[in-house]
Amino acid sequence: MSEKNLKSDNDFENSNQNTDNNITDNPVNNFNDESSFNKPEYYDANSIANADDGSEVSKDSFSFVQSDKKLHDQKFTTKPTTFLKDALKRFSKNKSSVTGGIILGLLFILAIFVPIFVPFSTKNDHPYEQNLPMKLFPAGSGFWDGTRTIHNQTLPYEVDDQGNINYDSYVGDPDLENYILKIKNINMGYIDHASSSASGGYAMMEREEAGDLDNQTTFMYCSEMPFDFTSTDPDDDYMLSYTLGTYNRDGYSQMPKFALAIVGHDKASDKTHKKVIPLTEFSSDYGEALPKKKADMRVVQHKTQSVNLSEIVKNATYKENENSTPVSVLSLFVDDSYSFGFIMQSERDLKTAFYVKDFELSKKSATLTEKNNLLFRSFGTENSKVKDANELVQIERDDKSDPSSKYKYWSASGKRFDAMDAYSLKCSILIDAYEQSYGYKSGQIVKGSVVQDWIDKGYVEFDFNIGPKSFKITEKGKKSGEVYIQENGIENLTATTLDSGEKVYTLTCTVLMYKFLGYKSMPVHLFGTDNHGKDLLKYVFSGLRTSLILGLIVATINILIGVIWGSISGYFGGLTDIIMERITDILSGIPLLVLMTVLTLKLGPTFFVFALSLCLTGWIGIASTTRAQFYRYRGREYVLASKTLGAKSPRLIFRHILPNAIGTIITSSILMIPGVIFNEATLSFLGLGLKNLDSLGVILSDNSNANVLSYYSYQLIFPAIIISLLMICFNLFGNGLRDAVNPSLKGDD
Amino acid sequence: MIITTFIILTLTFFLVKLLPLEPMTGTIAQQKAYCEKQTYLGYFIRTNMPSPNLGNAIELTENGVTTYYYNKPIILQYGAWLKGIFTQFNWGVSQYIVPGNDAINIIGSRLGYTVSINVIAILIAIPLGFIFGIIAALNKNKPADHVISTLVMVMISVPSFVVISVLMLILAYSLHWVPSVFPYGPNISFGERCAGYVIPVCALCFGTVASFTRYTRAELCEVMSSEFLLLARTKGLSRGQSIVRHALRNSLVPIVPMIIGEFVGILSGSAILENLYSIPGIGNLFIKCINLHDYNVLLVDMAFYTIIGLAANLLVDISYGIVDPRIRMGAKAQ
Repeated sequence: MSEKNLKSDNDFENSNQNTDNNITDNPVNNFNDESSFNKPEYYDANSIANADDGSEVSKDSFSFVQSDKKLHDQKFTTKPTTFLKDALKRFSKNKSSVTGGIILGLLFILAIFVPIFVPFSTKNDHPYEQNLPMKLFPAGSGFWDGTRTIHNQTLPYEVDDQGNINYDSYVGDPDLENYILKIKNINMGYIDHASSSASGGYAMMEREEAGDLDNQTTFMYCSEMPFDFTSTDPDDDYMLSYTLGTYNRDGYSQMPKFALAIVGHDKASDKTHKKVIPLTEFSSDYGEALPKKKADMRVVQHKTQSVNLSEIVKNATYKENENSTPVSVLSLFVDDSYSFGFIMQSERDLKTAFYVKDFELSKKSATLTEKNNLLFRSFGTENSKVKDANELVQIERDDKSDPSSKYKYWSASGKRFDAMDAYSLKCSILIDAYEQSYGYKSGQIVKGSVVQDWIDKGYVEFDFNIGPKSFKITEKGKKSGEVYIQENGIENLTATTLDSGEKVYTLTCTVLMYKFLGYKSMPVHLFGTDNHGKDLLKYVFSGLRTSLILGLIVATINILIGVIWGSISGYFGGLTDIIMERITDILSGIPLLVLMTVLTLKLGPTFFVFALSLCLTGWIGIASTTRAQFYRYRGREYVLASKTLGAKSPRLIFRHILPNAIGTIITSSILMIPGVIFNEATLSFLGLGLKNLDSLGVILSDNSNANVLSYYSYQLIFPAIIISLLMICFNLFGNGLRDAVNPSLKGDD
Repeated sequence: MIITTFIILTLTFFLVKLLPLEPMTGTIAQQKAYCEKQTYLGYFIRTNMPSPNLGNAIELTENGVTTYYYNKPIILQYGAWLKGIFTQFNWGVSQYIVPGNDAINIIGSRLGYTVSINVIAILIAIPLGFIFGIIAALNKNKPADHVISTLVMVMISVPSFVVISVLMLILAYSLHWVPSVFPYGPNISFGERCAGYVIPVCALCFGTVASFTRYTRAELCEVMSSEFLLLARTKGLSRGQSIVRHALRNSLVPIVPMIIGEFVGILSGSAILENLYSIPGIGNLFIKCINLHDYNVLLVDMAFYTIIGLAANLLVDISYGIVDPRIRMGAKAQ
């Protein structure tokens, strides 16, 4: 033990003695009683020195000093300190504990006053005010300003003649557009649908619905290409190269089978309908599985292949049915227009997806001229590669709206066909969330009584026969500032006549939301709101108040029971003690959760049932502390003395032992309050606690779901900080108090 | 100890059985299987006629025949329960978790996750706590000690669910380093499995490291100021020698039993963690049982906790004697 500790130990012993003696009525400070002191004798030092020589000491050599003075003990100039004062002195030296105490006091004050002075209601849900961010400073100041950043928004852009990318303002989502403060973090990103503000990507085919009867679900092709496959010159051969892959969409990674196909008009049978004929065997060989981290996570397998298309077309045969003789594919199509593509075949009840990339058609002999390469012409790219799936899909889409369009390049037989991983500009936008929630909003319905009130006061006027356009806010109405409808914002105006003959007007219009919701000015939520629209500042501090009240009530009851139980057990000892100890042993073995569940199910989830269940076993700790203290003091001499004088048990307990033990008991009581709060929070957090009251635990458990953790983390952080602060301060304060009251325990917590 | 266990379990049995009989869920066949097993084990009475004086019934209609199942009186159920445990180690059947399955099997299948997480946490927490404790004690009242002590104070005070939530917020939701839900199942790679253990182990270590540090510091400080260490220094041992040979060894005496106590502590304290991080362990099961009112499984789970708790107490007492032969529990005071 350190020096400091030893010193304070002595302090403690002294102060302890003081209190002991005060209590046992033994007067110690009674220094005026002269008889209890021996008078010191004073003598002359010289005469004694003489006496050592062996000579007689004469009587004259002695003289009285101070014989004319009356001697009394001097009064103490310092005041005797009491035990509690001494403890307080020691406590105030412990700076961290004092700080803890001050913060604790602040929290108490806030818990009392914040719920009174913050005007928002936390009783009901407020659907218009959900998930508002923290706001203290005006919007746009950059810090604590009620703005929200929304990531991963697609930013539409245009490429001008010089190849520069231009964008002005975000136009993607009309719900957000009006509230944008800033566009930032512009990056390349991917989107999974074709868009005018995207490029590149894969053409992705997906079989959307399971249980499709058609096995060969999807194909795609580039059409109306006047290729000549009849040429015998190998230099005229058309080479086709492509990359095929499977795509893991929403966790599905089944491998559809695919085959190369030719599509053309069936002139042989003199019909004009299209025919799809597989040129190769169906196979599911997509090459090697890609290592996950290196490639796109969603692409499972892919493979680049190159084939001599001319050769395949020449050699391919086709059977009309099982018994017919095979005919050459080329002979089927007298016409020059062919199309190529991939047929996807998949299991009936599986969702499948695969993609095509780098679809390239070229002639061995020479570069393709513009004349016989429609691909080249239509996309205007330098080579004939079909890279831009995004563009293709869009063409295919445009094509649907315009049947006469020539560019029928890609098709998916009625199934979903889209671009995947197309490049686009992604950005984060900073929006003013308060403006979004409390600013002008269209399509709101203003109820009849409000409108009636305005009409009565002369704020608005309208002619019902003309309709919404006649609605006007009068000068008087504008001056009063009570009409919160935007001028020219009326969308609909209806009137119903009740049975009583009263007319009730209903307006659908654009309104200023905060006035519509009944606020005088734009509300400011210091710590934002949660996903029920409750103001977090008020909500958390009301929760803190509930927790503190619960903690205080439960702690008081527990202390009462515990002290009484512990006193009896510790004072009497023996068999009583053994029996009582066994009872507490067993009680402490019953899990709190079970006890609580049983009580809640039997008596209902109310505040008092909850408090009761916390009290049922909560007193055991205090009881054992008290018991230990009683064991310590009951054998002391002053207790024995008092007993000898005829004091009865109650007097011994309440006058002699308890006052000495009270310091330790008080400390463990103070440490009990955070314990109760902690228990309550834990149980509420597990969903087993208070059901209809908001405590800190309930708030924390409400605000720790995946949605909050992903998007609105401040809703968790604020209550978490408050409860952590409460716990830390209670512990600091309690430990400081314990050290002050009982210095011998200092250090070992 | 055995008697205490027995009494606690009996009390819990009665408390749990006082809860009302819940209506069944699941298919008729599952319900039937459950009720038949309950009847076989002696908890239910099966009748073909409604008998209102027996309380609430579970009615099952199969193939047009309605069977009524009633709770037996609690005291008879208790007898059946004891008989089941002692004769065939049968703790009853699950009603909702896995309807019709033996409760003891359900616990067994989930025990692995809980124990593995706790063992890893303890294995990490002990050396860390020990090192920090030693650093703090050797630098007593110096900046290092103040920093460690303050951190320990904070770590002990902050409630575990706050720690878990914040860890999940930072590691899983903001940085995306680890999965946000505990990965389990047959097709999980080793790497993913390891990543899944990061949050639970960190969360459990958080408080445990703090309490180990505090105990080690307190013990070591006390030993450091003792006389035999002064003697050791007077004999001429260097500070390092005296610390390693004398101080550390003696400070270990109360710490080793604490390790056992701490293990049990975090074993039972991981219920919140398992619930929050969706770990399929027995803590999660406990909460699930209470919410679903699956009483038989609840009883086994509680019995497990009670027995572990009491056994740990016993182990702590015994280990004191092993670590330090001077202490013998139950020995006569001299």
